[in-house]
Amino acid sequence: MHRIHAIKLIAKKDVMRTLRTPGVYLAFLMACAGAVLSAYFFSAVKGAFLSMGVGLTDIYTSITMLAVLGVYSLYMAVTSVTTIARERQDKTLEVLFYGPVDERSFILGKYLGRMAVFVLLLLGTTLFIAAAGLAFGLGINESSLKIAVLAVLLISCIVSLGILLSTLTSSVTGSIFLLIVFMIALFLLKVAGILLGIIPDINPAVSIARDLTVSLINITQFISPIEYLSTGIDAVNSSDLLKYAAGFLYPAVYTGILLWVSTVILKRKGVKQ
Amino acid sequence: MANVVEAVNLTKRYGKAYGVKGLNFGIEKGIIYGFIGPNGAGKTTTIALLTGILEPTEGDVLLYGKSLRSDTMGLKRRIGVVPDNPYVYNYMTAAEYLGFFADLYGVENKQERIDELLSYFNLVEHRDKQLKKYSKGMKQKINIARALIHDPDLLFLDEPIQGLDPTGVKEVRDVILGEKKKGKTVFISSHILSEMDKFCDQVGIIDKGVLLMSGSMDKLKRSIKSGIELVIELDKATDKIIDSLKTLGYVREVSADGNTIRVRIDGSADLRKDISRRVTEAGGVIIAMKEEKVDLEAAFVELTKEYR
Repeated sequence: MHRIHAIKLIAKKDVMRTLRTPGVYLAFLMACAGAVLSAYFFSAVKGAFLSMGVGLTDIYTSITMLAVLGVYSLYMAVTSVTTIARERQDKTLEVLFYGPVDERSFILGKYLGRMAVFVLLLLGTTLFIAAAGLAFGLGINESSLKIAVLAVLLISCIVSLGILLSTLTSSVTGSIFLLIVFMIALFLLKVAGILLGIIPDINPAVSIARDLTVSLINITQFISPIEYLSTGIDAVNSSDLLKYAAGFLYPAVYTGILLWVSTVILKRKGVKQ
Repeated sequence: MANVVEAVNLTKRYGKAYGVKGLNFGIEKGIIYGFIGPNGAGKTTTIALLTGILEPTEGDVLLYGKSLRSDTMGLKRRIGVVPDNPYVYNYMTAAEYLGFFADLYGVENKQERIDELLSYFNLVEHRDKQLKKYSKGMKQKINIARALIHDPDLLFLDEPIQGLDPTGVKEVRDVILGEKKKGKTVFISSHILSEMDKFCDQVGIIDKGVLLMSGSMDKLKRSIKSGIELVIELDKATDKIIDSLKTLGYVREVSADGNTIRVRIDGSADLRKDISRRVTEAGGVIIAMKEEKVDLEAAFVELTKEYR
């Protein structure tokens, strides 16, 4: 009971803090500007789409939502990866733990705080995209709702990964650096996979390197939150109920494991520098 | 009387180095316990261990007879902690900050308690000001108010008067004495010995992570072998006088500063006549002589010197 109370308070504190920073409004403005531009573009090419008999509303909604999701993914990744590091750097983490707070309630509070911020952003943006669609004569449909559900799952993975990386560092700069290193490593691995795929087997070393890279790419499928987005898209588009359920289950398990690991790391590392 | 705080072989190791080593001490209810040591002695580490934010490598902490490991959350609700610096959420106002911690502790009559503390610390007119606009002294006050928000039975303060102006020091002192009056127990660490001497009932001396002594203030002062220092003002202090005094069996140390000689004597007997005679025999003329009791600072220097 006390733990739930602490989780709620930490989450609320986090939301209040975020709402006092310009970053959240900047992200929202960028998303809304993107939606307007997208609506304007699709209204301009409306005729061509109609003549091809393609569902314009679906395309407008899907592309705009995915673009918005890109903006929010970056924003949520940065704010999640700095959330604990900042408290550690400012030593407010220490003060908080003098009170009736333990590692589990702190991590869960942080996670829920981040998710609450995202849900607020998503709600506002989805409404804005619908309004822009109506204003530009593109209409609205339920596909934005499907993508919104996917977005929550994707962001859940990003936030939990951000929190995990945040527990590993002691400063805001260090946490952002770690995030960049992580993203670059994933990107380079993908590039290496593509390059090795097109190089012929001129010697055994290339073959070994390719096998190794493929293995690493397979592993990153479990680590990279982006992979869960494609699983989710497949699930939404699929009529296979099992696949659909798995599309929800994987991110939930991913989030659970990462938050658990974060709790263990925080406990091991301690709250005092 | 049962101890409120009990450190049992408390040890914190960082690799091969010791933060604190084998601390054993107890603190009775309702007293002010001063924890004294130079910077880096292990005071902050000890507080972190006693308040449960640092896990001991060995040993245990008992608060109110219960192991801190077995009931961390329950015991944390009974303590208030003021860290060595005022770490606050700068984006919050004073009222929001205290409100957050009041909610965390489940304080009833939250608003009344916040108003009471803000009024006590003369911060009522600043209640809606963001903490980032507060001065260090004001932040320290809000930090202490935060630690008191749930009316804890046991208060830990880590160097609370460091960097405060005289008014701030007096306010902190008043808070500590006020808590004692209410029957609360206070653990205060500091290296400002003159302040500790004013209000501590018991003290612990720590250096290099080792507790050198723990007990009443009197015990500490008594534990110094040379309990008395004679300050003798002469018309002219010569080497002959100093050497002559050094030959006396009960004289532990003689030091000179201009024409003033300080003589440390073992025990507490009145030896002024004997000393006067020896000075006169050595050709000295005494202008004034006074006896000084060893204060906390001298006791501390003595103890840590022996250890080093």
